[in-house]
Amino acid sequence: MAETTSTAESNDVALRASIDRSLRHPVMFFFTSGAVWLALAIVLGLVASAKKHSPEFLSCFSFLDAGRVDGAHMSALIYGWGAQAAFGIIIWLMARLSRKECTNAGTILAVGHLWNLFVFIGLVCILTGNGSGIAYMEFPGFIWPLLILCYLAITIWSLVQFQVRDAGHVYVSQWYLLAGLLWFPWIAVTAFLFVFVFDGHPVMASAIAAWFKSALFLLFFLPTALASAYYLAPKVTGRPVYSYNLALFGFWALAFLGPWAGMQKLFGAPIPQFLPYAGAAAMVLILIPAISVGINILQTVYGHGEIVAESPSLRFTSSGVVLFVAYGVLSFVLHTVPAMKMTQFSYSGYGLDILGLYGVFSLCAFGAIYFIVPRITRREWLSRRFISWHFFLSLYGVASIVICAVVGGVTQGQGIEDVAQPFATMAERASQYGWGVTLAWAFLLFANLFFCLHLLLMWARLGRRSSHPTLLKGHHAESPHGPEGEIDNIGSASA
Amino acid sequence: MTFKAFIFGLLASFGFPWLVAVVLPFSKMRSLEPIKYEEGAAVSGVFIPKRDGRVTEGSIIYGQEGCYQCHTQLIRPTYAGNDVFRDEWAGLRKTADNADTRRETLAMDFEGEKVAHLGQSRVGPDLANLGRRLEQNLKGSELTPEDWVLQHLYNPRGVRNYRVGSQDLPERSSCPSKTSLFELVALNGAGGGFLAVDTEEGKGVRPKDRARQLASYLISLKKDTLGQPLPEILNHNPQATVVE
Amino acid sequence: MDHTRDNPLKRFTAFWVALLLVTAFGIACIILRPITHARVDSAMEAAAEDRRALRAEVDNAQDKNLNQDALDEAFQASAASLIASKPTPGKVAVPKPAAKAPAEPEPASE
Repeated sequence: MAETTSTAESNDVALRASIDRSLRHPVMFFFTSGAVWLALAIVLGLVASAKKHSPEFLSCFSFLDAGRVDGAHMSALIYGWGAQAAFGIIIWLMARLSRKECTNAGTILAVGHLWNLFVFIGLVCILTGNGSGIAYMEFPGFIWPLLILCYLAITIWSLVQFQVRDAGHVYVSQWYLLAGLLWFPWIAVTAFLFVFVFDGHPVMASAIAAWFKSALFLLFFLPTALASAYYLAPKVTGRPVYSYNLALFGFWALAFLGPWAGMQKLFGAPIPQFLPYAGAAAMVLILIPAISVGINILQTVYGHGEIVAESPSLRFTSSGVVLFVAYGVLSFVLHTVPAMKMTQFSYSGYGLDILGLYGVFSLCAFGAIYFIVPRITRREWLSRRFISWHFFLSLYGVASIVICAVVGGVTQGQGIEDVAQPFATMAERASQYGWGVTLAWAFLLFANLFFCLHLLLMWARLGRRSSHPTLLKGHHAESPHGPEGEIDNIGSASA
Repeated sequence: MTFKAFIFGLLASFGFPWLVAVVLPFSKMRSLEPIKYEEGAAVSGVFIPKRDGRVTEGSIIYGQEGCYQCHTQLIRPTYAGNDVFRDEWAGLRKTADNADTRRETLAMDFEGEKVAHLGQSRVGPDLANLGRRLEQNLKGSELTPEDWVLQHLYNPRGVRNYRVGSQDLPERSSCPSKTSLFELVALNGAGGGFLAVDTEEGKGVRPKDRARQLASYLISLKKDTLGQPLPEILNHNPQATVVE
Repeated sequence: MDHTRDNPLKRFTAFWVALLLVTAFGIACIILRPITHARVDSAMEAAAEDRRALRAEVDNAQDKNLNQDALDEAFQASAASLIASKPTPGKVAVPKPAAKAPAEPEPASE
């Protein structure tokens, strides 16, 4: 009996290794190029933020105009880093969970290069003043269909893999992956057609662009992050997910709420009045999936504080999940009607966006990357200290951005609502918080220089050859990962 | 949960909001009922907020330069904010010379633009009534609104002659200089159209066509629709429209 | 475990099912296009109604006052006179001036 188990186990290990090998090139490509875009996005964010309070900063470069930089910053963060990190996670996780090797690695890799090219062209267009000029969809019109086609060529194989998987239980992560895989083209194609192609009312075009931006986070980045969290938390702690029913509830709560959100940005604008209210209600209720996911993942890792502290991937992932709960609470507070009056046109919306994109999605993505990269490169991470710095600076930076932006935004909103005060007083007061945001981007820049450098070293196959994963604390006498050995023979995956 | 049930759930949970929040409002907003003046009004026919200026081109440039990141163009109804009450944002208050032209933003205000630049944040003031506000504030100055806008685009911290004590312009504006919209040319034989700003000896700053289009668009932003009266149904302050 | 789910045919079908699924709402947008793009009377067109009414009135009045028979008669008469005054080939009505070369410019003095 024991022998059959070990044969099955070694077959399993062989299968996992062959899956990892089959998609190592595209996954590594997405992660490394994503990390480079992230560093660039942070530099642009720093410049954009600095220009809000010090308009003469770098004013000798006309392509770094405030306004243009803002659009370039968000586009680089979303399509350069976010989308590519998500692609890497999706194709790896779907292959692992469907237990199928990737047979289209060449296509994915080639199209991945095209994706980078189109993002680059889009950014150049924005910075040279040739963007679309539509908030949240700044890339010029011709870029969007190209990006959507690239998306299809990159991810459709994961849907096929899921369909031909060996019969059996469909895991929570797979729901999220499957849903995210479908939601992205649904929202992107709809938004592209209704904003760029169809001839509609200008206010509706901007409403649909706002809906797209919100749906992009709630229905693509968030599901990808949660798929990774639902995979890593049980995998690393070696415990089953706390509650299957709660997972089911959290998933469908997100599925039902997500598509309604977004148009709260047009509160008071001349569109059908229920739209901003529906959007605000959905954003308030996002607290429900946030709490259910939070309880579920944190209960899964509860009592394993030591593993959370040691394992880079679990530490990042758990922080991401905690920040998702924070996102839910903040979204709840900011989208009640009295708060909306004040914060609608202030920095706080930006704070919430960054909390979502960096705090929730990126931290979970870092967690996944710290888990996946050693498996596909068959090398371990080089430096415990780099990971540690990356973690603390990231957390500190994102917390500072969110707090400065939200508090500054409320100050700004109060100033605007108080018509007895001159507008200039409010502008002066709010710009003080801008300094805080700029400083926080500098922290994130340092965090990501560590991350980017570390990842590039791994990409250059300079990682440690060891069967012991890099943990954030010193080795114990008894390693939870078993005795030293060849990396191929490691049965249980952890780190 | 079978695969089919799962996909059906996804299609339904996405499809319903997609239809109700995107597709139907889109077709509704395309076919807004024209608003007619009521019987016995001073004007007859259909109300169309008129604008003069290079609206379509200027609107695209406004977007490409990212002005919407820091400026809004939305006067919210009072349930959503106090914009109507801020001086000269929503129109002009009633004075001896003019009627009260303050009003909320209407869907028709964006006629001729591809996308409505409602804006992200109010780092700078709302621009929905910029054209009329400038006209009002530059009365008696030698600057025209277009001159002022062009000088502001070139160097926001160098513009003078704006009414002292205005609520809108801080001592130190944080608006970026859009120098890429201007060119530095030799004065010799270059014709006219230069900005009245200090620059290198023998050279002058001239706005490019983009700057002129943008300026024309910006001063077309007026809330009183070139003196047309509002139909009763849009006028939330009917007593105020009477000009003595 | 059932290992027979993976075969080329299955993959082929799965590919097309997946393609159909991801493009589902794009297709729906295009199918619903006639509904979302129903012809509408814009405010501009409604405002044009008065103008059109005036135009119709003017056109009617002009049509009413136009005497087509007299017009035809006048055309006939002038056509006949034009045909009668057909130019004779070879005879030039207006003499063509002879081409003249322009004068050489003065050489610039040093």
